[in-house]
Amino acid sequence: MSTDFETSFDDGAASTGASRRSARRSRGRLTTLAMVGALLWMGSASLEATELPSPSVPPAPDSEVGTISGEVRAAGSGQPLVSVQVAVIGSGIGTITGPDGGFVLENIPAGEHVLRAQLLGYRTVQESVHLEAGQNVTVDLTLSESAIGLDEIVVTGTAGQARRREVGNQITQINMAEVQEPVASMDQLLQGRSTGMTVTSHGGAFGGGAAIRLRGNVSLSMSNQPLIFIDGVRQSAEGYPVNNTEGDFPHYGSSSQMSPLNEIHPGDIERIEIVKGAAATTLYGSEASAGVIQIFTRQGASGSPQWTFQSDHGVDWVRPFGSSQRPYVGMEPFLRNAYGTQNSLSASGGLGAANYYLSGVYEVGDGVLPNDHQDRVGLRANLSLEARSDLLLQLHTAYSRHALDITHTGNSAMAIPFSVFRAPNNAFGTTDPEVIRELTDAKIWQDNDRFLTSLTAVWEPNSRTTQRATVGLDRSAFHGRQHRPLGFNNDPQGSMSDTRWESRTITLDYTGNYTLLQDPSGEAVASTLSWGLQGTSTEESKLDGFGRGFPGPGRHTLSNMASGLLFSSEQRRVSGGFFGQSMVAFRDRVFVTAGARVDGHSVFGENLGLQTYPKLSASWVISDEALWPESWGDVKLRAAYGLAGRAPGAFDAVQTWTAHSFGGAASFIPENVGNPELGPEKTRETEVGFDGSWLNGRLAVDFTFYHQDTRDALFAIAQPPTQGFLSSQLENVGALSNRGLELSVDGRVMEQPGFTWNLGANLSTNRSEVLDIGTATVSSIVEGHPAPVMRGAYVRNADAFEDPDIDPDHFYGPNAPTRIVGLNTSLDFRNGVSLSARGEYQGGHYIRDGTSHNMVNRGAGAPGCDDAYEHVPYSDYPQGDLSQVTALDRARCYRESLLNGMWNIPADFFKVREITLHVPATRVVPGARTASLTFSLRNAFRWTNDDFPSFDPEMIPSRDSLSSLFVGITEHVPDPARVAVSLRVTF
Amino acid sequence: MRRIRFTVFGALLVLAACDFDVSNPGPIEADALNDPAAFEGLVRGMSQATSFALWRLAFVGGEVSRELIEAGRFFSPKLPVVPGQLTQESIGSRYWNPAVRARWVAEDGVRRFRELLDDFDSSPLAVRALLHAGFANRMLGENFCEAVIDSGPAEPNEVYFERAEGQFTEALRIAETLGDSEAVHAARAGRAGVRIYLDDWPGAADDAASVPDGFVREAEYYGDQGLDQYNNLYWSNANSPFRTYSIAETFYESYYEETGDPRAAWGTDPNQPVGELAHVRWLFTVNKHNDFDAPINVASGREMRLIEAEAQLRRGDAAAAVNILNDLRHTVVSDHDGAPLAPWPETADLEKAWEYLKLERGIELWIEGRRMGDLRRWTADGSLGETVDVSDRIRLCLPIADSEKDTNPNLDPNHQDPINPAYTGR
Repeated sequence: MSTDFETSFDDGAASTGASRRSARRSRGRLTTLAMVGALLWMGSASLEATELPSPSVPPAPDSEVGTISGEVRAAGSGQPLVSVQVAVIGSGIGTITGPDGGFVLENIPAGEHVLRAQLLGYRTVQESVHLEAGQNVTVDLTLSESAIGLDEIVVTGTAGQARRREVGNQITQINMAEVQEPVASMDQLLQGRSTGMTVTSHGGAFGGGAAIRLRGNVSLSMSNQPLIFIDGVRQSAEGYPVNNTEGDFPHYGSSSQMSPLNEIHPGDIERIEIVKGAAATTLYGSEASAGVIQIFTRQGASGSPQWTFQSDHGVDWVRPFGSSQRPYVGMEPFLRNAYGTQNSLSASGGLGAANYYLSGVYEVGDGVLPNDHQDRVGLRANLSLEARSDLLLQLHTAYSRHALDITHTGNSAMAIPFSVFRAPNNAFGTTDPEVIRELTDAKIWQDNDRFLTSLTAVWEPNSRTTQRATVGLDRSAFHGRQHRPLGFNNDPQGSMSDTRWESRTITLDYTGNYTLLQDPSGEAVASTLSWGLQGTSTEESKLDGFGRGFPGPGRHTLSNMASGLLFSSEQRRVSGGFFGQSMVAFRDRVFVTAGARVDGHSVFGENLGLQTYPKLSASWVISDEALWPESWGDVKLRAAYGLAGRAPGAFDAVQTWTAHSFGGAASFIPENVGNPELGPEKTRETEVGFDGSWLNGRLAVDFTFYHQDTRDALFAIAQPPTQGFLSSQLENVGALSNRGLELSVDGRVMEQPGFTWNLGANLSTNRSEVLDIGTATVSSIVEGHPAPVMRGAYVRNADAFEDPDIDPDHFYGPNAPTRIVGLNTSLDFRNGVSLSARGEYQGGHYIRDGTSHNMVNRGAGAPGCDDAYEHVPYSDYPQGDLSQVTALDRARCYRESLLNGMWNIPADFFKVREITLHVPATRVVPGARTASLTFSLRNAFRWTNDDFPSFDPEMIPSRDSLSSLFVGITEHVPDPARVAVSLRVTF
Repeated sequence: MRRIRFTVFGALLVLAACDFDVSNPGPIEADALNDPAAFEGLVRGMSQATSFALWRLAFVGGEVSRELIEAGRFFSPKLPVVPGQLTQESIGSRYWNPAVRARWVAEDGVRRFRELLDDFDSSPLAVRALLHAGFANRMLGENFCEAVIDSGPAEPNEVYFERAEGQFTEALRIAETLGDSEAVHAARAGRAGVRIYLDDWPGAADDAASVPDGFVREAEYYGDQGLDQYNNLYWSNANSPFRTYSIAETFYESYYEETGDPRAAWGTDPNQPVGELAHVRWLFTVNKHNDFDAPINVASGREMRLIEAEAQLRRGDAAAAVNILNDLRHTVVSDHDGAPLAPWPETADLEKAWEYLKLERGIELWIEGRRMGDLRRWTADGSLGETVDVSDRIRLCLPIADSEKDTNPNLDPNHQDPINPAYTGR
């Protein structure tokens, strides 16, 4: 059988789109009607098709083999290409190129062979090789960039592997070989990499994860985080629990919700696939309406070990976020330049039928606030074994431990930013930073422990059949502690909490593919049938202890405390589904795929039953048609339609009461009304678009229009309190729509020997509208308006120097960006030096600056009003001379006139995400095969519109989870800027 | 091909065999509460629900009736000045919702026991449930302008008192059958407390007279059971960074300074550094609720004496009323000198006697969630208290919350409160 990487190769005639057209130019076309007819015929075709023999070649004696070696370089720049898959077609023998672009293929039977080299983003090339027994043939290959990669293999949402040309929906790939800057986290890696994707950080809340949204919000009550898969195993996309204890006021705990995604070491990743909507995620069923991100980690390849060492060093600092009078809003004494380093070592190679990739990473560093510190260790072992000629086994195992000390931030009287921003109206009644510094005596610690393992078996009993089964375990554990010492200002007796949480998700995934009809000529009809079964079981348990009253100074456990509380919870969610799919290809240029998934879930109401999600997609590589002039470039048209869902929570369908211990005896309080009809909300998506490549691959355009309709949308419907149940009940009563377009344009502006200038831009728009909310009453969810909408009091004559003319209930606009523009450019030089930059604009939305609102309301005055305060100090209002104060400032800068909504502000911004200089350094590192230095500057420049007064437009409200619907500002400092240098050495 | 068919069939079979019926521990399914083993827990739940609602109403009621003031750090200090600042949203989530839940939990328990207990008429559980229901209804009646029962229409708030009177009467009957004197006193004290709102002063005085001075019924709080079981009147004032209220600038600040009456004692927190502000209001702490588990009185013999005194006033006997008040004061020792408090001057002047009664009732029942009710009925009588300006009618009762108006099919979302029409909430 072929090795795993080779299953991603096209066993048909290797050719570029242009050569295909040449071969087929004289041939006729099928009409659309014939295509549909053929599809229907194929759907009813007998499964008794003839099985073809396996292409595997039996091993030859040593005396009859030779070696093929060489290197692969990029056309134009001549730079060596890393991770190129190089294989001898039909032999099952292949490898990947090392950092110097080199490869060695040993034990190749003597004879005529075709060597193939393939790399994401480049056109596949093939070269005939004649090999004599005992001979070592050198074959150097050159790959040209392929703008749209029609023959690239993708797997996400496709029921097994598929060539990009076959896929009717948009799919984004991030190839790590093309990411040059040192990436500190997965959030950083994803930010600004795909059209229609926003990655919003937790601000300066140390360790906090990011909220990821693909094509905006598709749910108003449930999570909008996409599903995450790693090597085919589902992991939790939601954050770790926030380090709060049920025993104390939740504000007093951490306000950082961490993301399991960030426990993945970016250096272990080979590529990422992103599909954004229900049209592409149907086969993932009831929890996939917000999209799917699939991560593939590196694999070893046969050959001697390749060692890679990388050492990253960076310094974070906070850029001014206040006014010219108060650039850091008083936080200067508490901010610092924070050094951090990440060092990793990996080895990959192969021993006979077994390949391996092993890696370890250690990260240590501080954050910009006084208590922030982290240590992280990550280990990974990816092993693959060709157990039989038709059976490949893969084992992926990763472990990480992430220990953090976190400064208390957010909307809490125990937090430093809060106490500084509101000074002197804080718990101390002072502005003195040395008094406020006592808050650093309160400690928040968090240890995240993650173990991810999966075993995949790929069985190819014959050339028509592939069966793949994966069983995986994702175990995430969290140990959170808080400690307020004896005599602490706000808790004189002292208190501590100790919280343990564990989540185990077991995934079982089976997919079968059968080729009903083969079309080696590419001129007839081909067809595949796919089927699959997935099961997921997630168990979560939490044990949370809180104690108050230390017996004395020093370190203690909960057992030592004067009083203690214990809370525990457990829940299990089970889901399962199966799917069937059929793809019919007409002349290898028109592809029609139809399928459906049927799901069951333990969280559905007892009256609901199984749920069905259909899909239909088509693609047409129109540029392969005979009448298409070659000068018109490569173009694929595509359209897809599909449904996916989002399931409610574990207890939402059942009427429940909570049990407490009240005075040492059990007591019952009503909790959840329950809804036996409760089911998933379903998002129906239609997308159409095209992928095009012109000017010999120098210009690539990807365009998509999408329209999503979420029906049976889950809304939390408030119940009449006089009926006893105070919590809202989820009901499938709503509807919303979401539509937009995504356009990306990438071009090589200049390509000369030794120099290439690439320039890219992408644009995405998103317009959401709430269509129906049933009987729900939520001020930010209103029929006919975006979801969610910012509303509140509004000053009609904002800039006039007169009393404000107030609209008391104005709809400002959406809270999520409606337009995103990404820009990227790179300059590649002959000697391997490259300079690249990425920037992103987001706009069209409004956020609430809750920090400024609270500062005004609590008597401190907002930094955005400092100019107004120069005319009329905060304390003088309304007696001062207001003639130089605008109507807007009169309405929002003084407590006496402040109304809710006054700090809803337009949040348009442009940020330079990254500027990176990559310099080869092989000559200065003795013994290295390759070495490079990379310098990067991140988040160092920001533009906001004139109406955005202070803080930062990319912050998640305090204590809100990553799945929160809202973006807004609470008492944090913004995300820091970072300068970093990275040394990467291979040997 | 057979192999593939078998695989597909097997996959479907596995799915069909999947058991999606998961039962998770933790939350209790409603039917499980029909088990007699759960009945004690249901009664404890009634107590917990009432306690939770009571501290909240004591807080907001104290604030709007000037028993305390907003400290100005976390909620707007404008609250006592601009009634509109007490938003519909906060009324719903903080005050209305827990209060109406307390009534529902207790009455649901009574319904359940009536249906499931063969010996309801002689059951101690029934007595306890009826008492909780009665006091929950009294709490609602004293603090809210109108009544809503089980998502029904708006009704006069007397409905709460009428339900309470019936529940106390039934509790009294069963308690007497059982010979449970504590429960008998509680039922009579509760019924006396609601009869004064139903203008049944003879009945109230009769009930009050049967309750001894030393009787006290308390709402329970626990410092070792988590936030929702704290007496948050303590936690939010003295031992948390919230310090949401203060007694600075209230009548009670100067009253305690002058008399040392421990019922209105306050202090400053020795653990707090002195801030830059000349007068940090939130550093004034209330001594009455001095720990997480400090109880709040729901009914007491001392309250009964006040009812008897008021009944004397309503009969026109000022001297008898003041005598009762002074008997009460004589039992209280001043923090200043350890001597009994100075009595109110003896007087036959009804107006003066009313003033003393209103002050004494305010002092005795300070921050117990009772003051708004008193102010409202005295306003209805046309005799205002001397200590409070009630021109802001918010000080008399809280309206039906939007959380009810927006969800109750029997209520107009724009329903106007008859006492506080400003509270349209729109």
